[in-house]
Amino acid sequence: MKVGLVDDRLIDLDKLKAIVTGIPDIEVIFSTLSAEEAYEQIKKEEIDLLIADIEMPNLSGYELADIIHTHALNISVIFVTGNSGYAVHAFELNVHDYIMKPYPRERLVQSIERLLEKTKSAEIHGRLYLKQKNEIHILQKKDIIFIERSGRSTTIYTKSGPIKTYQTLGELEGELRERDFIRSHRSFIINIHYVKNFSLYAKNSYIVTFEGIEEQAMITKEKVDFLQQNYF
Amino acid sequence: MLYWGTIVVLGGLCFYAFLSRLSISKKLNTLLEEAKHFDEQRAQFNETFRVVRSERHEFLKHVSAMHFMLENGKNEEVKHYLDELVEGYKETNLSIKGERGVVAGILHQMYRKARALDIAIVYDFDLPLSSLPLSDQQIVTLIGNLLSNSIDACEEWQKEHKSQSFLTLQFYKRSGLYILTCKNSTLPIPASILDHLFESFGKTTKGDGHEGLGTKLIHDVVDVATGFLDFVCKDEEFTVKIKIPAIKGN
Repeated sequence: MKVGLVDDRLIDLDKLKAIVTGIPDIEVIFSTLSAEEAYEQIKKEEIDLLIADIEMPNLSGYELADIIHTHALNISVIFVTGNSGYAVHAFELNVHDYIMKPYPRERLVQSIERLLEKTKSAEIHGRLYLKQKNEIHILQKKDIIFIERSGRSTTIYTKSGPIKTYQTLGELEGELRERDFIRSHRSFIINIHYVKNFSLYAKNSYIVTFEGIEEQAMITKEKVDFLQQNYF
Repeated sequence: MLYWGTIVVLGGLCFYAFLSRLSISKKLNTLLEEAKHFDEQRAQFNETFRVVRSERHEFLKHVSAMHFMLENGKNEEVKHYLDELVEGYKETNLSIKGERGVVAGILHQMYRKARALDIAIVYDFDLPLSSLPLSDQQIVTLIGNLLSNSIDACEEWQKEHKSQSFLTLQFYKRSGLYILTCKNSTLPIPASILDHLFESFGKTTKGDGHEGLGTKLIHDVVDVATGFLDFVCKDEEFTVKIKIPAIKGN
C-alpha cells in the first residue's frame, strides 16, 4: 500500500514516518510539512492512503480530504489531530479513522492494518486469448465478471459486454488459474471480486448477482462454503 | 422373570426421564439466559434513546450559549465549548450511524462500558451492522456476546498489565460475504478451553457464575446464517473472524 504523510509539525511528521515505515507492505511515497505539496501529490493519484494532520496553515487536512471526497479519488484518509472539533466534518467525509494526539504507536498501526485487511486484493494481471474462427480476441482477465456455458457455446460476460466463444469451461478454467476465478457450478466460472449477493435457488444452490451487470450465475452451496473457508 | 422384566423396563423409563429432564433443563437454561439478555437489551435500548433525546433536547441551549459567547467576543471559550460538545456527539454518532434501534443500543452501551474501563475501543464499519442478513435479536446476540466477552478479556488484561488494552470491531463486505472481525487484548487462554471454544457449553475462562454460554450462542447465530467462524489467539491478542454470506430473502 502506498502512503502519503502530511503534518506541519516536524516532530509529529517524524513520529508518523517512524511508525508507518515499520509496517510491512507499506511504502511511503511522500512525507511533507506542506499541505500544498501534499495537494500536488494527491492530484497525481499515486497513493492509496493519506495520513494528515487537520490544522495546517493555508490548506487544512479537512480540505485535502474534501478534495479526495469530491473528486471520488480512490484514496483512504486517516486524520491525526490534536483537536476534536473537526470530528463532525470527518463523519461527513467518511474518513477511515480519526486519531487524537497524543496517540500510542499501536493505535495507528492497528488502524492501518485494518485498512490493509479490508483492501487486500490480489490484482489480476494477464490477458486471455480467445481463438475465434479467423480472429483472436484479447481480454484483460480482470475485466471478466463471469463465464456461462449454455448448449454448445460459452459466453464470457465482461465489463464491456458479452463475448461468445466455442472453448469449453474446462479449457477456460485451465487458462484462468488465478485464485479469484472459481468454478462455482457445472456451467459457470465466476470472478469473486464482482460478486454482490446470493439468493436461494434450490436446497443446494444459489443465484449469484454481480456488481454492474444484470445477468446472473449459479453457485453451489458447497462452493459458497469453500469461498468462506478459503478466502479473506 | 416378570419381576426382572418390570425392573428393567422401569429402569429404562427412569433413565429416559432423566435424560429428557437433562435436555429440558439445558433448554430452560438457554431460554432463561436469552430472556435475561433481552431484558438487558431493552434497558440498553432505552438508555441510548435517552442519550439521543437529551442531546437533542440540549441542542438549542448549546447553540444559544455559544451565540452568547460569540457576541461577547469570547472566541477561545467558544472553541473549547464546541470541542467538548463534539466529543460527546462523536461517541453517540459512532454507534447510531445507519443502525436500527436495538443494534445502536447495544453498540452504544458497549462503547460506553469500554470507555468507562479505559479500554481503547474502535468501531470501524464500512456499512451498518444492521445490514447483516440476520434478525435484530440474532445481531444483538452476536454483537452483545462478542463485545462483552472482549471487554471482560480486556479488563482482566488491564488488571494484570496495568496498561491500556484495546478492542476493535471491524465490519465490511467483500465478494458477497459480510466480514466481521473482533480483535482484543487477552491474557493467555489455556489450550483445554481454546479447543472447545465456540463449540460447547460449560467451558469458560471466567470465574464462578459464568457458564461459557456466550461463545456457543455466537456460534449458533453464525450457523443459522450458514456463516463461518474462525478464531486466533496469539501473542496476547484474540481475533474472531466471522463471515456471513449475503443471502437475499433470508
